Amino acid sequence: MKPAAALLATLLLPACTASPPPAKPEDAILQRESAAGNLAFTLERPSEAAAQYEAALQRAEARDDAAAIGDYGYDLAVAQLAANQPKQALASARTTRTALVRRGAAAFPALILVEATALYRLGDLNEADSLAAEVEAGNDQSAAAGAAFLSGLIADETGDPSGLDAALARLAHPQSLAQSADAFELAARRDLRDGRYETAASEAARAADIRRAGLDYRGMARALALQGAALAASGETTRAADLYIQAAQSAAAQGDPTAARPWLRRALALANTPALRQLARQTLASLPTAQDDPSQH
Amino acid sequence: MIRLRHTDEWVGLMVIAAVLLFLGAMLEAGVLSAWFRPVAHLRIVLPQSGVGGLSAGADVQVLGIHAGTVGRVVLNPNGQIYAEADIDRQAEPFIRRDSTAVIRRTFGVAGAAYVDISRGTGAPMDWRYAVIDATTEVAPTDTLTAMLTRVQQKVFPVLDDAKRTMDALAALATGLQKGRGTIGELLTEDTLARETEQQIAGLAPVIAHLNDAATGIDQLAQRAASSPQGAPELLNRADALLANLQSASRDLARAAAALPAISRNLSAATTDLPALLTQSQATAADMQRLVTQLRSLWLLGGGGRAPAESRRLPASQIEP
Repeated sequence: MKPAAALLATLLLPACTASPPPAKPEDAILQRESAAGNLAFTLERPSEAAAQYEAALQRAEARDDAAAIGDYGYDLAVAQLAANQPKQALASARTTRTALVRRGAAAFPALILVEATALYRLGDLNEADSLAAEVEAGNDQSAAAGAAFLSGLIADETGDPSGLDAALARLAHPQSLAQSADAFELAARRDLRDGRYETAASEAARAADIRRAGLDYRGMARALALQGAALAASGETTRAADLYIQAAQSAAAQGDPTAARPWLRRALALANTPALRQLARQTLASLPTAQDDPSQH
Repeated sequence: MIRLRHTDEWVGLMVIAAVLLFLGAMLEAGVLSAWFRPVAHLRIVLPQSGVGGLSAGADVQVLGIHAGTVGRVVLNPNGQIYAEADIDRQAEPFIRRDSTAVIRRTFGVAGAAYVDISRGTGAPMDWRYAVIDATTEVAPTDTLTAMLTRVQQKVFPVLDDAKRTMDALAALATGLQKGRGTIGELLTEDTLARETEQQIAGLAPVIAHLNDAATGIDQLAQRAASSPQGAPELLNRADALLANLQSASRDLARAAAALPAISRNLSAATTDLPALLTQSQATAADMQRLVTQLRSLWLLGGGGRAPAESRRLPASQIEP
């Protein structure tokens, strides 16, 4: 028995005395800034979130932590896009990409997608399309779906039906409600181009509903305007003007007068009742000037 | 036929007599003594503006005494004019380096020019190369002429102006006499005067109105002074307001005495705020970790260790 007991004691002794490896120290300040940024972003305060992410990015640079620099630089650019500051978002994305390359790390697809989206909002469609194609070739499925939708929008705006079809094909199996709304919106655009106005209007309405449910009000406003375009093409000008005004009011309420202004002008052109025209004029007059538009800075 | 005898002897005698007479005359004139008298040479540099009539043979005087003669006046090719004078040796001690030479005329404005050398008191002259500068005495006639010219330049324009002024005055008087201009009309016609009288007469009602207005203002001022809503009442109210203000400022002054203590209390209270904020943040972070751990407990329906949270926002948040 004695040898057996000794053997058991020898086996159990390390188990009793072994302590778990010491936890890796974490940067509490970095985590606090990041958590505050996430909270502000969740509460739809993108400007505050951008400030917090900027502080986190500075902390990451103080650590010379390449991964953290990439993550918080990306978060900063996304928050700036949400705050309707595409110029700042483009600068943040490019700075982050350069910082990663200088530290021997590659830019991840989502970061490139932010850059492409900022370029799209600033009107550089060719460069945006090129970057979107790069993202689609990457291994991030979610980013690739977003890039496909962006490519579809660019193809529609540049009058490239085949590109629009290709983008729609890539979104044929949506993995989320947001991707489903993207697919509906691209389908509506294709049908509008092909002259199927009623189908296009219903698809755009569907996309708007999904985006409203998903709290994507920016995409909802765009879908409403698309529905208005489809109805205007089908001859329902009053309803179309209504939709354009709704889309513009939503954009204005989100602090995006740049998007609201052309929709209101379109509503003014379509409105055939004095009340609608008056409403469009009032909304247009209430928009801040170009100097006050944050997207212009 | 008359025959002359001893002709040759007579001629010779006459020649000898003539020679003797000539020598005697020369001795009498002092020419020879001048030839044999010892002299010193002095170069007198003459002014560029002119030599004042100085010529060879002119006297050189020192202290008004004849002291030599100008031998010649030389015009140097390089533009310099000088005179060479022979000075008696006896005058040498008087002519020194600080002596000055002045070209004068014997009778002031007329007569022969001569050189008057002043008596020097400085260093003795080096008579191997004695040079002295000369100036020309300004003739009184020159001064007079210049003065007359200046008077002419000043007086004649004044006379011209006076003539022009007199002409203008004459023209003005003529115009006034003919009734030209306002003053001429006033002098020659009485229409304007009559019009003025009529206008002054028309002012009488206006003055009467002004008198009425002044009376009204007077009455208004009396009313304002006597009315219960007038100036005295206003002043009373202003006094009351000032009294209230004084009271308020006294209260403020009393309150201000407590301000330092309040400020100290505030400072002490806010000193701990940063530390309190940090502690609150740390507590909130601990609470968050605790909640995360509680959520992951299987006893509370959790599924064991919570999945690691991604630091990146989802790509679906990127909206075109």
